[in-house]
Amino acid sequence: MSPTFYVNYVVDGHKVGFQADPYVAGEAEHHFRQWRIAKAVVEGTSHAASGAPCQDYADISELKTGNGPVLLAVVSDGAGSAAHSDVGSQLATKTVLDLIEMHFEAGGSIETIDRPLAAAWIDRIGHEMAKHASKHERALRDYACTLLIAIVGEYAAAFLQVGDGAIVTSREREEDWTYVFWPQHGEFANTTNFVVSDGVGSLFEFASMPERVEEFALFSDGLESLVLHQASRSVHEPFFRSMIVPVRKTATPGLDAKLAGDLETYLRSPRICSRTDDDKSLILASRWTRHE
Amino acid sequence: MSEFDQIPFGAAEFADNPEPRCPCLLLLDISHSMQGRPISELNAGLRAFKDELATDALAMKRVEVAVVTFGPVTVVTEFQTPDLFYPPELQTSGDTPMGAAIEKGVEMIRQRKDTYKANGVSYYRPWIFLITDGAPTDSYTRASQLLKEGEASKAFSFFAVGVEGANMSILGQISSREPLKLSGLRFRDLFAWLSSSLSGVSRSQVGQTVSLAPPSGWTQV
Repeated sequence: MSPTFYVNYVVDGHKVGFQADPYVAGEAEHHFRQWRIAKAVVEGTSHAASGAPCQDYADISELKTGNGPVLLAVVSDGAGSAAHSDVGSQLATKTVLDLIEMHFEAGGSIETIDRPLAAAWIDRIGHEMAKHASKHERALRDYACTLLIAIVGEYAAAFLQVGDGAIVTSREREEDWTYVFWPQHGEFANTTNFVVSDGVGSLFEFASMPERVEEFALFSDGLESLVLHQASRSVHEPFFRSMIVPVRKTATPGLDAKLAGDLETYLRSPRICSRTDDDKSLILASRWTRHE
Repeated sequence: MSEFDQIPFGAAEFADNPEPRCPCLLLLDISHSMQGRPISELNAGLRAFKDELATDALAMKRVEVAVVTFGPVTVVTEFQTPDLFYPPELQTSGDTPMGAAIEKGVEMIRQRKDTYKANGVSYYRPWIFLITDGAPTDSYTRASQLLKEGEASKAFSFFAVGVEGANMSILGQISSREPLKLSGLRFRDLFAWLSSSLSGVSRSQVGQTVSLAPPSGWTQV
């Protein structure tokens, strides 16, 4: 006789059922919680001084797919010297969100996202940028920007990265935060790869994992030196363990406006700006609940 | 009141990373011909260099200066931040082994980078700045080769400045970049430009090409 596991089904803090579920092993309770998300993009103080626009862009999208909800999170950081990289980062972000949405609408899943597909997306972004640049009589390199993407489903996640900044995730029980890809820096502190770079098709990072990600964050390189340990190549966990708490505690699911405002205030604060004068983007997302 | 402001972080809020470094190596000709006003102006220029850098808080943490004189080839100061850089009072000496000095300089840059890498310190593309009033009295074939390779692989940026009496033609062969001719003995202006340029590099962000102010006033076009 096969073992039967009795499972409490909890949706957003309310117990809604109690039934035998032979497929669930090892979990005392199974929580299905919706994402709480905080997102902020703040122009660097050096940009404010020079009058340059903010060149960072970030966005999220929550999809209902055949395999359950999927959260998309994207951060793009325009190159400082590229004349229109603010346009580039916005175009890259919007284009890739459209492409990923189309993938799911056409019946795709996270499991069917592989490196060749990701390469095709990057190629498409480059194509859209070239079209836009040409229409406005600009060079493609004027749109140079990085790209960080997290695609997080119920039990699987896929990640893509061109350039610096990073995506970090935490595992529920241990609360240990680890990076998905180390920021791509060339030999020098002020170099990285961009979506428009030659050979980006072989330079980008891609990873796919059949795991449930409970919490994650994306940030551009303006925050790198504050939240990553360079010498040991590790994540400064205290920062994320603390910053995720207000996100966890937020009552309403989805992108929370008050949280976004608070995060923006934080990123503009003196203790952040005294350490970095670059543009800063930060997305924090959590669907974590403590087991009762 | 921001939710995030209420977090009791304590001292552990941020990671403690070393500043990225901007190494600048000065290769200085102190041969006999520099005797008198030239060497005294060069010394005054070095003092001005430190003073200028000292006005920039970020440069003080990031720029690293090393000084090698020739001949003979002598490491006067190893790489250090401007606060620990004490401008030497240089005296003139012997001949002009420029080839050996350049080879030494390239090696010092390579070793400094190894030290950075071993300690997880990021760095900007290093500068090598040669100032001479003559021509090499040694063989410079290998030096020239090292500079070409270094520039091609973007390992460093090499600049040559010729003082009155310098063999600009040979400097042009050694250096990938067009050598500059110092106007009179305007070392102070040269070093003011250099410190300003280094300040610009040391605060440059990713993907920013640093546009250096064109050298003017201290160089003849």
